[in-house]
Amino acid sequence: MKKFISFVRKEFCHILRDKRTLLILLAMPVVMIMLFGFALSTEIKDVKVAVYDPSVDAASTRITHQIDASKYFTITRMISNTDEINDLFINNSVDMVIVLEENFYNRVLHEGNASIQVIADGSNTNVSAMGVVYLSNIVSSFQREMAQEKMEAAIGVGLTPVAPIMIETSSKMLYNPQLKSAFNFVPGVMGMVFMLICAMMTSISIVREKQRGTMEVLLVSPVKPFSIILSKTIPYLVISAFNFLTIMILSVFVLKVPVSGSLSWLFAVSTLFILVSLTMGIFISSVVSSQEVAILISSLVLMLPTMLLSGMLFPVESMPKLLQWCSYFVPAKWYIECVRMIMIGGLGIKYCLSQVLILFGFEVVLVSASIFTFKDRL
Amino acid sequence: MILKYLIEKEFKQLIRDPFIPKLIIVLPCLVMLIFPWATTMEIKHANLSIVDNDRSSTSRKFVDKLAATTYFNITDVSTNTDNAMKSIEYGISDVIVEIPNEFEKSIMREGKASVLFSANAINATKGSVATSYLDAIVLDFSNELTFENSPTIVSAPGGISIEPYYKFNPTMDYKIPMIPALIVLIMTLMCGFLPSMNIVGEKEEGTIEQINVTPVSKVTFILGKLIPYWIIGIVVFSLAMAVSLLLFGLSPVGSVVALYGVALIYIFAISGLGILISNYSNTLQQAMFMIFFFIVVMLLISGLFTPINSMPQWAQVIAYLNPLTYFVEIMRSLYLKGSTLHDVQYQIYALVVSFVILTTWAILSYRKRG
Repeated sequence: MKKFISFVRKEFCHILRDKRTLLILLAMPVVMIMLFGFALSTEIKDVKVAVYDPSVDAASTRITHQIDASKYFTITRMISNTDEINDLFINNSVDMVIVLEENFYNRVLHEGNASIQVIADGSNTNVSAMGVVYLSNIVSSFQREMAQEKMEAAIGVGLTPVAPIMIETSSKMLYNPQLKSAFNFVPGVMGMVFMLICAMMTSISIVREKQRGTMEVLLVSPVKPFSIILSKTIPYLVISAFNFLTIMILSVFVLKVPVSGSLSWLFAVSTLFILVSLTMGIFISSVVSSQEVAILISSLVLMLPTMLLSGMLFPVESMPKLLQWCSYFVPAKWYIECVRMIMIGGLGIKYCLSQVLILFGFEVVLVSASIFTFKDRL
Repeated sequence: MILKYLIEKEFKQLIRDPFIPKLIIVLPCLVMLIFPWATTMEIKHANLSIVDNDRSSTSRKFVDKLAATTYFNITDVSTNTDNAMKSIEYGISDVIVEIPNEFEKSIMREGKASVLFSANAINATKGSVATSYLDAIVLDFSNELTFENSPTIVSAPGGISIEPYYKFNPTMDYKIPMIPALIVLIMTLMCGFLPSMNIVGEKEEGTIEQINVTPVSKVTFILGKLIPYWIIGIVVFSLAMAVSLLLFGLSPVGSVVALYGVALIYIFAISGLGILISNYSNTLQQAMFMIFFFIVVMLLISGLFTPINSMPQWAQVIAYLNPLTYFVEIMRSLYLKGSTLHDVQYQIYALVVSFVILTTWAILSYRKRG
């Protein structure tokens, strides 16, 4: 045991000596949380709109104002000619063009067959699709207002019009009433940071010993090879636990993303995921022999799926079936789901039992694979 | 002349480890093959749990209307909110639609009723888009009811129809805009990671000393390091374009020559950053974490995944200091919209400036004294 502890101390010395890496290790989660919490949002805002309004009457100016007043859109210019539209898109000066028709007021109020043409930039699908949805909402509330006013006007002159049937809707946003993107991002950042620190750092630090030849020195020591590897992982476990703490503090106090569920279960699940990542690092280190390859495997081959297939940025359920199956092999996906349920949803551990079991399964497979491929002589 | 031998040496070193040439060929193909399918924010359907407290013919009609849409998928109809909440908790459904008691009666008597939606908003976008769609369906439904009750006297202004047209991508294929974005992603990874490991790798192995004692000048040395990555960058770029043409039938709308020109400037800039980081690092581990940190931040803040307009002011400032932002914009414009170089001239100037700064810095920061 004493020998083991001295090995762990040696690893800590390695890490503490390299101040710059340590700084990045500790600052990475902070920067990521800040970026995701404050800078990035999948919601649209200030979409640049140009309006072509040939009628310029009471109805058309009113709807134009309503669009401009919404936080989703900013009207950057009024155009007088539909021929301009193409150029506006090509030199990136607008995201959307709204084309109103002639005689708009009359068509809305009396003929009831007005139409609004929306030309959106299809090369930016997310913005366009959401823009069209929000625009439809503005138009339908405009329509209601007009209907209401017309009714009142009719009553004013002594008519008794038949009121249209109104079904009011009210929406409650569960778990995230302010609709902050951070609620979706925080679990993703946790998955990414742990994967990065544990898998990458462990694999590189083991391979470095191999490449520099110091592994041989370690292997001839009286400590069992298995303990050598284990001692390599302990410091990263500690750093990850520290990062877990920073992420929690930042997300609760700075981003105001509350921990609705049990913190201890969250910690337990995170520990399980950290163990999976560490074992993955060990496994990588036992199959490669140079640091460059270890870096490339753990950064590109491991991080790309973690970023793109884990449901952190893109919803997994929208992907084709084949990719959904692929995503089942990304441990971060299961972990992120768990964190979402426990931390944001405030649900008990029994709701994410299957995810926990799958993570556990990953751990078992990776441990046996690492033991199988581990060589105690070089 | 010496430059030629230096480049030859770099290539020999690169090929010595068979993993790296394989990675250069395979990774771009894999990324272009898989990720266009993955990187979609499109929400194709949402699952609904319906709580029908009314159980009248009107409420049933409403439920049928919801079921008839392609967007919504009804997972359970119950009369109990707790049950519906359970299916939200287990992730079976995304939105609860609650129809109140006396829904039909109040429509008949007062011409008014209300419906409550409770959406799982952990994914804020999904929650708000789903309820927006539901609002539209309810509006449509109430218009239908109005029309059925009094088909002759329509006192309300008629529907304003919205006709969306998606320029450059009329079928709203979410994969198309991601293709130029993914080409940018893969070029950034390749031309950022590989050079960042180069000089520091020589430092770790001690071979840098041998170069330092030769009369090779700083500029020649750094150029000798950079040029192989420029070539690799162009190979990766061509490969990614070829895959997207073969697989998705997407060829650039704008000029291919212009695209290559811009891509080259970007490759210069990003590989300069890689070498710069390599100069400042002492170990591979350090270099790797630095480049990883920079690339992740640059990718996230470039408008590749989330719109720049949605960012707060300070983040927009960072975004406009980021060469990737400009390259993403140029790529999307040239590739999908058919813009000319003239349309994106300011973005090109910005790229040239970042290339000049990064490469000069990379050359200046290299010290022959270890």
